[in-house]
Amino acid sequence: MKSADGDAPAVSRDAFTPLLCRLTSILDETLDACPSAAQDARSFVQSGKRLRARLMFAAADGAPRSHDDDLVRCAAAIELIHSASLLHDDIVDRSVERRGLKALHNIHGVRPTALTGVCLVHLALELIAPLADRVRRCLARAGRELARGQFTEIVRRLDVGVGPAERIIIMKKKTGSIFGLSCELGGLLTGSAPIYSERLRRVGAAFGVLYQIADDVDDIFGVPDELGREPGADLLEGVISLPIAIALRTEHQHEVKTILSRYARRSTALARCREILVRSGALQRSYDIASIYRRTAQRHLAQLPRTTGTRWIAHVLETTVARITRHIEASSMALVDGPAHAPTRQAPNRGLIPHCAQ
Amino acid sequence: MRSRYDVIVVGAGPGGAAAAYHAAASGLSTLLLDRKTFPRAKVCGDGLTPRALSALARMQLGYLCDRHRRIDGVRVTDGVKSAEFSCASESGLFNFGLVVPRKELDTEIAAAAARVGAEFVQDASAVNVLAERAGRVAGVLVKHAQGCSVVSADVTVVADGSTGRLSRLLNRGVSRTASCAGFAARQYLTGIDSLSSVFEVHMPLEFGEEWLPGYAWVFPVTDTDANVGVGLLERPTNGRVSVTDVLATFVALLARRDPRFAKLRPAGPVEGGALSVRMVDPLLTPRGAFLVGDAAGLVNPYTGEGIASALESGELAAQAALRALQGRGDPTVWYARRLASLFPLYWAVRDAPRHLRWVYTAARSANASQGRNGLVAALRNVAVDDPRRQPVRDCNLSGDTRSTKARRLGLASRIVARMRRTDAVIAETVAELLRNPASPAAYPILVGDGIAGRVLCRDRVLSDGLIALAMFVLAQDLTAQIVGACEDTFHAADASAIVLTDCLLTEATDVLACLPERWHRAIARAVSSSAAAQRDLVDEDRSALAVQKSYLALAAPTVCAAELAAQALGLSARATRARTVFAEWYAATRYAMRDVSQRREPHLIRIVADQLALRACRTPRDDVALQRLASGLEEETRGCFGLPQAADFGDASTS
Repeated sequence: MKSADGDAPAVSRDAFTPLLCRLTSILDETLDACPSAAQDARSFVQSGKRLRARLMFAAADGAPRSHDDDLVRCAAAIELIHSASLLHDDIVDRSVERRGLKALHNIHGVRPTALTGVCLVHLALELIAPLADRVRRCLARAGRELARGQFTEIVRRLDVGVGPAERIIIMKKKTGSIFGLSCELGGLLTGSAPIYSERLRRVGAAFGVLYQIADDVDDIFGVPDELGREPGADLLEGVISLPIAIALRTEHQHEVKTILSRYARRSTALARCREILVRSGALQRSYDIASIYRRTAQRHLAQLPRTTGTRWIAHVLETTVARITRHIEASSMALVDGPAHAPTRQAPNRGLIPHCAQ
Repeated sequence: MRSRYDVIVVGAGPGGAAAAYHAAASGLSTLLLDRKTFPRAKVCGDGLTPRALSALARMQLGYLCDRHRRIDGVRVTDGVKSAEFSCASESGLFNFGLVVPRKELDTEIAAAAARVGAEFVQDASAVNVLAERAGRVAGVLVKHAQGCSVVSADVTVVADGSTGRLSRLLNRGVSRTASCAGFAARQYLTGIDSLSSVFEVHMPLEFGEEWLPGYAWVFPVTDTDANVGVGLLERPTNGRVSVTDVLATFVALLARRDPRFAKLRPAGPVEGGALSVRMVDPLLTPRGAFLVGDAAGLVNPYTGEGIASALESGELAAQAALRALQGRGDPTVWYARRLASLFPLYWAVRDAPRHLRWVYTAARSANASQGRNGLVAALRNVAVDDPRRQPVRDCNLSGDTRSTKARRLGLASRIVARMRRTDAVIAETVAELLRNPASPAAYPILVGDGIAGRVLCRDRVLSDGLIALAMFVLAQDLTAQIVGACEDTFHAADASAIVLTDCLLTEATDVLACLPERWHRAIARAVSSSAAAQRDLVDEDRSALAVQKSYLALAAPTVCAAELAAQALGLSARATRARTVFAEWYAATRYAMRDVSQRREPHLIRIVADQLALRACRTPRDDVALQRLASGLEEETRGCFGLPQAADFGDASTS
């Protein structure tokens, strides 16, 4: 399950440009400390959309510029950890493409890339060493949540017992934690009151879940140009994404299980999967859940001082939700146009045992 | 002189003559060359330690003891107070020393060599070596009264002293000034009253306002004659004065201050020479040649004593020559290893000049009486040439192994408990990995525990730091073990290894975040450089030096563990350094050996491991804990090199 960086709106990009430039240069400097890893990963690290960094800068917006150093440093650490998790994730998922480029492990080999990932984490650790204890602990906690989320997701692959609630928990851990961290640190580093930092964290956590839902939906409904990779990669690896988890709780569960078990050999099943998700209402339900998290984020956001940053966050919330609604609109059109498939009747596949990562 | 011998020995000083003696005694045809006509004098203190006497006895030269004055011990004096160290407690065959002028000693040893069958040719100097293909030394070019002749031999023992031509040729990398860090001058004096039978060592060595890093000696030859000299480990006052001036100043001072020397007269000229104290790495010497004695830089940098080490190294070189001729293993490696084990102290004190200077500064800054006592105490170890000496510090570490093991298990179980919070299966896997004693995750814990011992339980920063380091190292090692090269060979084990890595990394980050900033920084830097090195090691086609560097960088977490432990104990900067240096070699060697035993492929890693192991054996071990760690390491080293080498090489070259 990948959290491909979404399209960040160009609205208030200008506000962050100086910070983003410094982020780019600090990343460059940091990578220089580790030549072999840098050689492999520099373009990869630098090609990210910096969503997490932007969130942090947005959360810190309005604060005096004296905190910029720590902000940029922390943002760089988060970007490095994020890149490392993507590198490792791609290896585990056997991804072919990422960020529109060939996945690194297909260029340099699995072992070097895995080690490069480890190097990136260590570089991030070096970056945050001079920061306050509190900040380091927050970062460590979020990192731990991230790893645990990833771990659960991988262990529960092809496990049809994963329900929507469990999927949400995974999302909270693997995406919500880092998004929450970015926002919280934005507050912490600029010396906001603890109550504000906590509110910011909640905004980030809710946004993270929302963002991950949009990713889950995009994995099945997206088009290669926007994703930077082929859609259906998670489905291929048997990740129970949110729409799938919902569909597994409906009368269409047998078809979903068939797709899950057969997908690797029949890529045309992606179209079938889309259709089932629409028919079973799983897509709509995913949207509903996403809306809940959007509202949560908005509620917390409303209690924060209004700045360019919070306005930007509100805007990103909307565009993320729009990613889902777009698919709903497109699919309702397709349903009207296209003929309905007769549901295939097949015995439930008992071979769907949990994929065991021993 | 024939044109071919089994062994040629260049230089007939104690080292060369001993090599010739033992080579000839074991039945090898041996040629012993010297450019001078014997008997000839040498700049030397003429003092023979019990160790040197044992070596002489092995050459049937024990009769020298009956001819010369026995010395009972060492007296260290600053002119006012003095301390005596007796040799009487020496457990060996000899519990006394001897003063034998080099003029006589060298002649006797060379004659002994000739008696057992070595051909002794004087007035003949070796001007160059004959190099075979692959840089092997196959003999020497000898210049003598009748002209030049080529003499070939299977083994060439180079014993031409600290300024010898061949030893410089064979160690091109080492400049002459670097190899001769010491300077000595001596003069025979006569007309002295009531000399007692001790080696007198006068410290500190005063020169004007300055205290020089060295000492002056007064060694009694007879009741009224003495060999008086000075040895320095640095050029006096940056080379503005010569060492003979220092000796002249000392003799003048002695005559003024000490009533015994009131009527002294010179019995010979002042002569100066160089001391070669920088042990040359025997592995860097071309195959087919062995350097012994001063040529190998074996002068003890603390005492300036070089006869015992020359005799012993000559003996070793003869044994190595025998091995070479019998085709047993790699004699160069054998020689290097034996030298390192014979003279471990020498490697510890390559920075001896700085050390001595430090002693003086410390003594000076303290108040007079305390300073002098401290000085004498510091010199106790210096003056008695015993590599096995053990200081008192850290004695509590020699405690029972059960509690040591319990401490380590305690750390391991804390790691497992942390991982259990993520997942029970992961915790089990980690426990399994930690149970493997060969896992690199054990290195930081072993070294940290070895150094800090019982303090470990009480010091939270130390124990947390060790836990974090072990987890980071384990994570990195898991990643390094990943097999998958392409999509086809990818399997679930790799995926779970990566997942486990991530869990370990983040969990370790969590531990790290609770440590003080300083240690967070240090540990992060250590693991980061280590991971980068691990990444570099994946690349093939790198030079041996680069590979060795990578292994040293891999050791960074273990070094950090040593620093943590030293900090917890509150050790001095110097003691800390000794431990970190040891930790570095320790971990680097184990990493390299592990790769050798696991991959069984590249010669390169094998060579590097060899080098590293050798250096690890030489690292300072001035306390019990380090010695215990070191001996454990040596055992493993031996185990590793017990692998069938030929088979390994054969496999690699045919496939």
